[in-house]
Amino acid sequence: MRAFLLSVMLLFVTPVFALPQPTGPVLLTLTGNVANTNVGDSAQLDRKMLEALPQHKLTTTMGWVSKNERPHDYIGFSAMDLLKLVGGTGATLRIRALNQYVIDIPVSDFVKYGAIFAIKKDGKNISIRNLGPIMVLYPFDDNEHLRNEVYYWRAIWQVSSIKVLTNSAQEE
Amino acid sequence: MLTRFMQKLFPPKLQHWYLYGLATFFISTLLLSFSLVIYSSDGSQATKQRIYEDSLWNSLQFQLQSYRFLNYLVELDKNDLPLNGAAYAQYDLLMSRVDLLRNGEVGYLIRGLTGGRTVRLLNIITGELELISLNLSKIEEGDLSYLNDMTTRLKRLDNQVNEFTVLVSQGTNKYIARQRRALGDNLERVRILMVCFLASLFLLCFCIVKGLSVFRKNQKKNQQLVQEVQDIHDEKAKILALVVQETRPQIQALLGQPSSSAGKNNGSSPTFSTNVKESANELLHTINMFSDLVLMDAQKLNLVTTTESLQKNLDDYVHIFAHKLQPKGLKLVSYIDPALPSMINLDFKRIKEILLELLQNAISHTSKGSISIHVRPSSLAPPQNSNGGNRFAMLQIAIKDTGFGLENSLQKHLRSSPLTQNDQHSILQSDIGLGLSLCYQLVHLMGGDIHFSSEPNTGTEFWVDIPYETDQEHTEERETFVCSLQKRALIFTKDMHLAQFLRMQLGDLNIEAGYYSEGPHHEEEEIDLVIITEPDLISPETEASILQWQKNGALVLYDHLLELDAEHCPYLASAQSITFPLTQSQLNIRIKHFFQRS
Repeated sequence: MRAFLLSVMLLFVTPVFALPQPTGPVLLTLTGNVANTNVGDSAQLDRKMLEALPQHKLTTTMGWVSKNERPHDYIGFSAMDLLKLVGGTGATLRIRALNQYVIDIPVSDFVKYGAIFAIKKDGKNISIRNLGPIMVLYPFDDNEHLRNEVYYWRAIWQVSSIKVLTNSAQEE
Repeated sequence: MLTRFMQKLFPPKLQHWYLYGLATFFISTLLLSFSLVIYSSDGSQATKQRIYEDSLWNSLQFQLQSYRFLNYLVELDKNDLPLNGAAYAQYDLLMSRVDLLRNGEVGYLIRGLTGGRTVRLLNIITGELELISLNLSKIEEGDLSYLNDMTTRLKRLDNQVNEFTVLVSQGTNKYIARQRRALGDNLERVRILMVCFLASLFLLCFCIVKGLSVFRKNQKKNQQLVQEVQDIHDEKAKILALVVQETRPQIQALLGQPSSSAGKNNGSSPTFSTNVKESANELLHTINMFSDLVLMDAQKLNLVTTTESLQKNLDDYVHIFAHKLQPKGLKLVSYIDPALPSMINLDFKRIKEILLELLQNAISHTSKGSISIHVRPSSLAPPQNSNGGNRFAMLQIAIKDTGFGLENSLQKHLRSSPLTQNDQHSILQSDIGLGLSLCYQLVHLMGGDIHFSSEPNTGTEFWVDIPYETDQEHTEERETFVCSLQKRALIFTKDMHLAQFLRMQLGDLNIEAGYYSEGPHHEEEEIDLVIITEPDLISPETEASILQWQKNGALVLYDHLLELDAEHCPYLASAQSITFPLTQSQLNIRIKHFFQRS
């Protein structure tokens, strides 16, 4: 009963928008604290929906993979815009890759350091083989404080799903 | 300089302990710091370790992904169709791991592991996977007949995948083991260094304790020595006080005897009696000087300052020497700069002693001519403390003579003697005599400074800079007569030193004084005052001029020691005599008396 009342209250408090259905292959699935869903309790997004979000450009190298790699131009969206789209509320994103690797990233990283979810590399879509279709990237070349293991591990490749959590201690 | 400072700071034994302790501590700290920096700041090792960890992670991920791909293919059936690129996605996922193992830093590392076996394995695996991928398009199109062949080939590849993963794992483990060993060795070295550091710390503590013990012992010994020295000084002062006490009554008794009676009783002349008195005076003075020196050495001579008239005191001092000047025919003049205050706060008793000693020295080094005392403001900075309404300043007393100069040996001793330095320790040096020893000691005690210059057959000058206080409450104007209209004076003397001082004295009275020079040029002048110390300079023409000036109301003053007669010197009839020592106040009274009346 209490849960029902809380749900009714949340319906009035949190604005709920109907998210359109994906028309192409689903690239990203969001679960957890998301208000705008389109398939069950999840928000499933295809490339078209992701490209419709405000796009940001970031030029960097992945020095921890290869020292001699030249800088590449990455284009993608911010977590803030993504959360706004799906009505997500939370401080942590639990991100899962196609190989089932999981990492928790604070939402504040996307504001404080300008990290992005990159979906294009040098103007082209990123294939799975090239560690796409979505990868989290930080401006490593611009900010030397990011050049350490903490952020290298957070720069996750082949992102497939995100669970929006209040904090990293929240249970699955 | 530094050595002296160190010696003052640390006695020799203390230095010994401190230096050993500090040197050991310094060297061990330096070694420890360098070693810690070397062992703790190897960034390249950290990067290398990360690449090894990445290699292991990526190889394990590759093995896992290969099983997932195999599993995907095994579980694939008609119900999964159409695949819509899912098979490609699974393959790409697997190949992305292969790419990570082949490229970049990880690829470079793997190529170096186990003598190239890993590279060969990776090439076999890649080639086989490329071949398998040829059938993927058929499966994506819905033709599942190739699945069996693909899974069989993948299963056959399992041995290579396993071997590859094991080799990478072994290589990484070897590296990690090596790293751990190196880390363990480093830690051991750091531990040894820390033990050394602690040992040096203990050594330093021991040295400090030992040093402090020596320091305390030395301090105690030093205190004892200081006390012993003070006791010796006290004893010396007591003995001398006793000598003074015992001898003074007899000397004073001698001094108290009238000259005439002494002569009668002894059957000797009054001159003999005067000589005895003078000798007694000298003896008393010498005893007093010894007494003062010993008191200064025992640090028991206290300065007693009083506010008194500088002019009056100076006049008194110079008159003490009147009887000593006459036998030699010396002329003593004194002059106080009007810029100095009339009343000053000073220990006049000690100033008197200094002045008398310097005058005594000047008289003994001058056979003829003049001696001057010039008191003027000093250019030296006064001490930096002030008290109430008083103000500190410096005055300079210069005693100059026209004598034959100080002996070279005396000059040498005065310049090199530690007694003439401010940080002197000895109280008396026989080389410079008792009088000058006392003089230097007193000047330094009063916070002053003393210097001299001397030239053979030209004279000697001593100048003493002494701090004094001006007392704002006891300021009084000098009662100096000044001629309302400027007068002119002519001085007949060859002694330029004397003439210069007479000119300064007259200048304060608004009298412009000139020196006599041969020629007719003075005859036409209007002269108000004539001072004669050398009548030989006066020619008959000049004598006529002097008479004419006298007639016009001029004052003629002559040295009372000159043996002149009125017959040869007609101007003597209305002239006045002056006596030396000639002080400012004496001259002032004489001029005031004459010119006010006229």
